[in-house]
Amino acid sequence: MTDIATRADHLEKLLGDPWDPANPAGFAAAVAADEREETAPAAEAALDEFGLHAEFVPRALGGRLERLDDMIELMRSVYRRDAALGLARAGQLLASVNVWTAGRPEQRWAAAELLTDNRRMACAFHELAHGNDIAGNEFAAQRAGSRLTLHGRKESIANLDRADALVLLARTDPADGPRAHSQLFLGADLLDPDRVRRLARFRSVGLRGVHLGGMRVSGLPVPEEVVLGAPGTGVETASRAFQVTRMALPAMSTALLDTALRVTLHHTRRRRLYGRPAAELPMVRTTLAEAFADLLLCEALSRTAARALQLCPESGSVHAPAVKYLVAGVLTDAVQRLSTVMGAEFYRRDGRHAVFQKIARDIRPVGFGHIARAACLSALLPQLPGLLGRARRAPAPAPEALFTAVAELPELDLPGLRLVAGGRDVLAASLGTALDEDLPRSVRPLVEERVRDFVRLCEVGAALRPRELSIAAEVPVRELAARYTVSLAAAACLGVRRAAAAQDFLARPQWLTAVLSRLEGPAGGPSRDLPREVEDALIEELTDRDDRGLSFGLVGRPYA
Amino acid sequence: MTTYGVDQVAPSDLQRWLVERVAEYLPDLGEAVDPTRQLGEYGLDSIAVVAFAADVEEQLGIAVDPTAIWDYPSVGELAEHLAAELAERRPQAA
Ligand SMILES: Cc1cc2nc3c(=O)[nH]c(=O)nc-3n(C[C@H](O)[C@H](O)[C@H](O)COP(=O)(O)OP(=O)(O)OC[C@H]3O[C@@H](n4cnc5c(N)ncnc54)[C@H](O)[C@@H]3O)c2cc1C
Repeated sequence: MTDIATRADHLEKLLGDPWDPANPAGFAAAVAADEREETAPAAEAALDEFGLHAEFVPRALGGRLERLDDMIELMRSVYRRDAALGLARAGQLLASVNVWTAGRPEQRWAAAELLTDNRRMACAFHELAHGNDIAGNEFAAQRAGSRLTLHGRKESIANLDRADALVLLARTDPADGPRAHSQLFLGADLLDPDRVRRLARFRSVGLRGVHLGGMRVSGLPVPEEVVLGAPGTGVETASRAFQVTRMALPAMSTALLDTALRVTLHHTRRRRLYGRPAAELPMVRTTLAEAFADLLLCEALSRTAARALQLCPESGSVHAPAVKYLVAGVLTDAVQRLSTVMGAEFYRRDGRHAVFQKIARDIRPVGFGHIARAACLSALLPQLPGLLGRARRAPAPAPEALFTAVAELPELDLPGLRLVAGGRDVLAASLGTALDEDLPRSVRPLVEERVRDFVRLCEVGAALRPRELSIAAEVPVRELAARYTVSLAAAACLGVRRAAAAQDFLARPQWLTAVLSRLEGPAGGPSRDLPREVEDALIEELTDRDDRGLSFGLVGRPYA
Repeated sequence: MTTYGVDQVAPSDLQRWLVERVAEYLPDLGEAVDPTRQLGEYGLDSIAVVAFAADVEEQLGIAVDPTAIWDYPSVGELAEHLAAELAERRPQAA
């Protein structure tokens, strides 16, 4: 299969029209499957026919993964129909990125073959007793001659029951410390049922179709070759590899907001109240326009961060937690606000719009699954003094290729990713040059405000004492990290507008005014009202895309 | 900006500087940091290690990942390691 537009169109066709109640892979089927705590079998079959897992396998290993931004955009076709279907599939990435990062050639080929063959891998890191604190994990792999013996529990692991292989985080050194854990990559055939007790399925509020499993392992022998990378590098490998997934999973989840917005538009355009469509009531219009702006800003930040991981990989340790923190927060809030204009229709589990209540539940884990938003701020904070110091000393425009999907990207170098950015973040550094640009007059005051806020942030950041940066950092200090993510989002939106083709909606100033106004909110105070003219432009574009069956995100591509 | 003099690559000088620098990250430190003791014993948590590594990188002008501190967990070992790195990078730095 060839370029991304062709692949995306092909996938859309295989999955069919989601609104068609007779489509076994449509919204109605997804909702019915959710009630059974499953995913729709016809949708699963379509994804297998497409060979979806090959999208997660690097081209050098026979797969179709070349560009993260393309992979994310393609997965939005899956997420927009059913997030459970999306996560169960994208979950293959959680395991495999570790293998691509640290595996020996034969381990990499084994994982690649498994995935291109439509089989599944699970990522067994989590232990209920330790949550985000993975360095506290207890599941043990003890050396006994040339073998390892496994003991312990892993819980709430996606796809554990259907996995053909696992990537597992295990303690290989009883003493605490960052070198105490190793990753293991093992075939599920090694899980001898005499030594491995499967736990009952974990049930969840949202993403009910994702099988969350667990296991208790007592004295399971496995060969030494299952270790992934050098012993003791388990946490380090994850810190590199998860830079991909911590940005990619929230980035794919923007498609949930696309659907929530589409359903809300569908409902409010048809519902007549007081002699006119509900969509024309000022309150409803504003909510729709703001949600559209929120979607564009989430996609602008995620596109820029995903492209940066290939163009300037040194900043991945900053961009990944920034995307997870900001995008997850904005998406969750936006769906919540849309539910208010859906009214009672939001609360229904049947009827044409029942998919909305499912999205409202399914979107929540984007804020805590894989890593908590709060933990992302903890990861950003210690890097702030260096980042802010350098951004202040050396402002420079960011490379244009960061912002436009048209430009080609160098190969993704996972083992080359760093655990810290060393202060280097081309996106943040570009804010200091934003006012030198030819900005449309209408957005200039908003940009000036963002730049002023960033200058203030740099000053405060320079004055931070090292002792304030630990895990015990006070809330107002942690808020600085949140403000940093807002600055990154502003820089990404400015870049996307500048790089857009002249006749594109993204080249117009209105959406930029809207997103910059929205960005006043997340960490810098209340968001401001959109000017009438801006709201009109957004609603016009949104309605037009709805009529033409186009996606509402940055790309505006055909949706089946 | 306080840049560490890159001429001073002697491990002993680096060690003296690191002893002072790391103290800034340690809460409630009564005495000077013992260069032979593991930093973890002083309560330098994983997040603070990231900050310390970034700080040392900034001041020395060479890449310092937190993994350097994981692998050379006392100030003495870290100083030896960084001195070797600095000596290696110096010709390129010019
Ligand atoms: C649908 C779904 C699928 C999943 N699939 C998998 C899977 O395939 N494999 C797997 O290994 N796991 C999986 N998980 C588990 C998931 O990764 C855990 O939810 C996650 O590890 C977080 O743990 P916790 O929610 O218990 O939070 P805890 O770590 O207990 O945190 C509680 C709260 O403490 C605060 N906090 C925690 N850490 C920090 C910090 N560093 N700084 C500041 N505050 C902090 C935050 O407010 C946080 O929300 C899945 C979960 C779900 C819901």
